[in-house]
Amino acid sequence: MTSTLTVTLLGIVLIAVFGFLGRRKPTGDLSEWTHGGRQFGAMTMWFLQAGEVFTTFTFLGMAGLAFSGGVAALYALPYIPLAYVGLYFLAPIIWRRAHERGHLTQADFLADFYDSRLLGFITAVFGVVFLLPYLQLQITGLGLAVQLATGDQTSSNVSMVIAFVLVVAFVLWSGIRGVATTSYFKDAIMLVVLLVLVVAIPAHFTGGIGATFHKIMATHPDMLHIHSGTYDSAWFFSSMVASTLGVLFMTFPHQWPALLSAKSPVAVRRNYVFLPVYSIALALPMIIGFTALVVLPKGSKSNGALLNLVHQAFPGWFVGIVVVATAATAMVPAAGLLIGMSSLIARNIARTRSDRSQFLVNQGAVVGVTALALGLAIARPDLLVNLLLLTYSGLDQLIPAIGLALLARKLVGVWPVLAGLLVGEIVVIWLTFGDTYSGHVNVGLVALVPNIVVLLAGTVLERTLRGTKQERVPQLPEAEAEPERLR
Amino acid sequence: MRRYLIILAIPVVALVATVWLPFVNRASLWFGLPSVMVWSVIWVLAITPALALLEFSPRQRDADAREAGGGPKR
Repeated sequence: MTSTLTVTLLGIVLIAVFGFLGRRKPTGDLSEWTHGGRQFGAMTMWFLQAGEVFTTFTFLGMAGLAFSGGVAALYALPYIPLAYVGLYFLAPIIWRRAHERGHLTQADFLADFYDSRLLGFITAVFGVVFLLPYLQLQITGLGLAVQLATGDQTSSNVSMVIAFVLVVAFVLWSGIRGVATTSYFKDAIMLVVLLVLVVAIPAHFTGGIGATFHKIMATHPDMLHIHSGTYDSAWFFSSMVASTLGVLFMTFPHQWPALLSAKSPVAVRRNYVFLPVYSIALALPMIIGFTALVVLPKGSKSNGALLNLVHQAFPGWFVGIVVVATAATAMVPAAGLLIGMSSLIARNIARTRSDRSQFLVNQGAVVGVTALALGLAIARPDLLVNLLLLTYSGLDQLIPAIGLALLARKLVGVWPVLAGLLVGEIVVIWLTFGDTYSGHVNVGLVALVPNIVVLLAGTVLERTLRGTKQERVPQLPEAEAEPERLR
Repeated sequence: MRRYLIILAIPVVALVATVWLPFVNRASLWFGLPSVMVWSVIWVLAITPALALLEFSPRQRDADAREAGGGPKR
């Protein structure tokens, strides 16, 4: 066994140990398991939500996108902080209502507001289907890192299996508390590794960060601005807006457990005040991607750019540490994804008769979903790749439903919302796979137009048929107080 | 409160407008880094103090105190 693989496997086990430390005894209460008793302060929340920002996509993918698209990759830098600005105001509304009404999931929130279990079921199904390829992405990202570092497919497969068996084990044991404790380790190792790499890699290959960009200025000036082509202004702007709206309206089901685990609206708000500072760390892998632009031959695989440079510049044991950091960016977000998906299955998809059976379904879902994603990652790694194209755009179609549910009054009934959602999803699928759309505007944004048009038309029809009565959301004094405070 | 919201709007507008600003979106280096990168990092960093002004404003403190005390909410 090489030093790289030894360090990698030890690191993977260490990540899992941090996960088990999250709880002394396993719980049988789904609320406690999912939200940690809603007792997390701003600091823990900070790590939990920061953990969602840095996945294998940001660690390997951002370097890859900078390598292939230059500064166009920077669309990913502001969208999360921009969403935090809005969440500073909206998240306390969600937290208060969820706290008062006992919501555990995104689908609980929607089903309760629109008084429709069907809507809860459908949004939960969309949530699980769209997050499954995202989970697989974390697994294949880890496998790719091991393969690039060791050059061995068997080591890659073994690492994926060991890592995700351990993820399942600590998630079953600790729930969201395990995600929190692993997040501390993940963010620490990831930041240290990134800071070392961003100094050492440019210094090793080009003489420093400044020299790297001066070389790019001389050889690839087009990579320093957003221009016509695949990554043009329309792509940059619409990708940033679509991603911002997706995060702002909490369309990702795995955003909800982290938010609802906060102990108070103050903890929620404070978190959004300080999280933007952390987001600038996204620029670090991009700088490494720019270095790859002047070092690696044209046509090199973009997702492997960062690890390719690491492999050339560092000894085996340090390559192992970088792979451990990559593994952490896969395992920790995957644990959060599993909690988001399993709670949707247990609460909103499966029909259970007791709290006990609901919890058992939840635990079974953690195992089943991971087994499915892991099996596909090893046996058919390309099967879900196309579905991943739908993840962001597909979940963006929940924006109108969630946006309207944040209001104190129910202005729109469930059927227009459902019709808009389904039309939006159909348009996303058609534009993504239909070979009819060649524009660069984000598909999710384009599909939001028919989604909202159908919603409005349905609302007019509904009001014509039933009169213009607006329903007030029952027992929501806190939610009503919040918009007042904003003025 | 309106003053704080206007301050908060400045980095938001600056970030959203990045691609449309000709002095930012061009092949140039500021402090040895791409201008788009420096611009984005500066305004992302500006969000935190802008939100902190709002969060630690007397009005927000009063609202939190009222909520903690179970008093009437405006």
